[in-house]
Amino acid sequence: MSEEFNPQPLDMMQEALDGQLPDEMAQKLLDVLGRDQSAAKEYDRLQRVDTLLKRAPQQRAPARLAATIMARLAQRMQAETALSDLSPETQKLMMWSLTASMMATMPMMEAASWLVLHAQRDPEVLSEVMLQTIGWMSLVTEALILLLEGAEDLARTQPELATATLALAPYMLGSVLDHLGEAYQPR
Amino acid sequence: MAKPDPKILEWVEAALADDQDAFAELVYLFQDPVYNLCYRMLGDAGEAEDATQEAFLRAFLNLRRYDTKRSFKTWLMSIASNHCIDRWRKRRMQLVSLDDEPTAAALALSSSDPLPEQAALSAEQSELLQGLLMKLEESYRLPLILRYWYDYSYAEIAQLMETTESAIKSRLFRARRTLADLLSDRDARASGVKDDEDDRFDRLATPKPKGN
Repeated sequence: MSEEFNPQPLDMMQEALDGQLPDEMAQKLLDVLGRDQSAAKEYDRLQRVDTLLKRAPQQRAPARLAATIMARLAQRMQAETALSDLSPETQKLMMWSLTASMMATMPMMEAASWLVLHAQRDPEVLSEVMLQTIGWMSLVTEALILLLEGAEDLARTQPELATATLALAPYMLGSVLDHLGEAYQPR
Repeated sequence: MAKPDPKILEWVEAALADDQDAFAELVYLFQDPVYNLCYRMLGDAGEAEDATQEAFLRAFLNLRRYDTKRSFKTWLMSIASNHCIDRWRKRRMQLVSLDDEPTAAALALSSSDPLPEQAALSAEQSELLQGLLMKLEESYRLPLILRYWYDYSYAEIAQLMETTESAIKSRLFRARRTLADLLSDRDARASGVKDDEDDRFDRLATPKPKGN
């Protein structure tokens, strides 16, 4: 770690590196650097970083990137148009199914909060609980996203199957809970 | 603060009227800076590509929220930065190790390396720098990237990150000092093992004394 010294020159060094130090202050900085070895050493260290950063190249976007973006955009627009073409009844049904799916995650959220709150006294336990909680929350989120994407695709062709797909969410969450129950039997 | 280019505004207006070709012009114009920002923030080419795509999609979908008095590029960069920060936090949540050291190969410079007076870093040195950048917290990394790769002023960075100029100044300084400490640590660890290579790297990384 760097040695401690008068913080005022640090401000001047910062402004000098950013090209914002007025001339009269630049002279003052030079004076400080001339008589204070630790300040001079620190300025050298900062200048080294500054030089590295200034020499770092701009990364250029891959050649196909713009085309990929435009293709994704076109696909997205097409999907949105298709979804807005659904009848109001189907749209309403989709919204209800979606809400029901989200509500199905509530017990898991509650369980996670309970675990974290009760593990706070012991840092080791808390760390383990956080690790496990984040792990299975990610798993659940990924699974829900998969279900939603599947439902969105189906909505354009077979809306009734789309809502049925979303109805699978509670079962999916139940399976995750079963798996966790088996994996973490009390010792 | 940079004013928007009339041509850019024209493309924005056309894109708002669902003209995808006009939006494509904006993509072509800004894909490099957005990609570079994502790469520097995320440290991975594949992820940067994905993040760039997502940033442009979000920009298109939120185009109506763009304030035409502001710079379009700054607005776009703020979308990309926020997305990168979200991705980074998500990645950290997924407990992917971020502590990978730059490989020894990145430090082992060959005899054909550029001499100090040559401006750009080699790919290996750039990778080393990127490895060090990734060790900074995102709130320090972002202002550093915006300052060095985009030459944004404190005020512009503050606006983009929705904070004050003094906060940006302080973050920039802490970021530089942290990088300097990381470089010093790396030197200390490497000394005695890779003396020759490090000397070469130091010569490259150490600025030449300025004449004025």
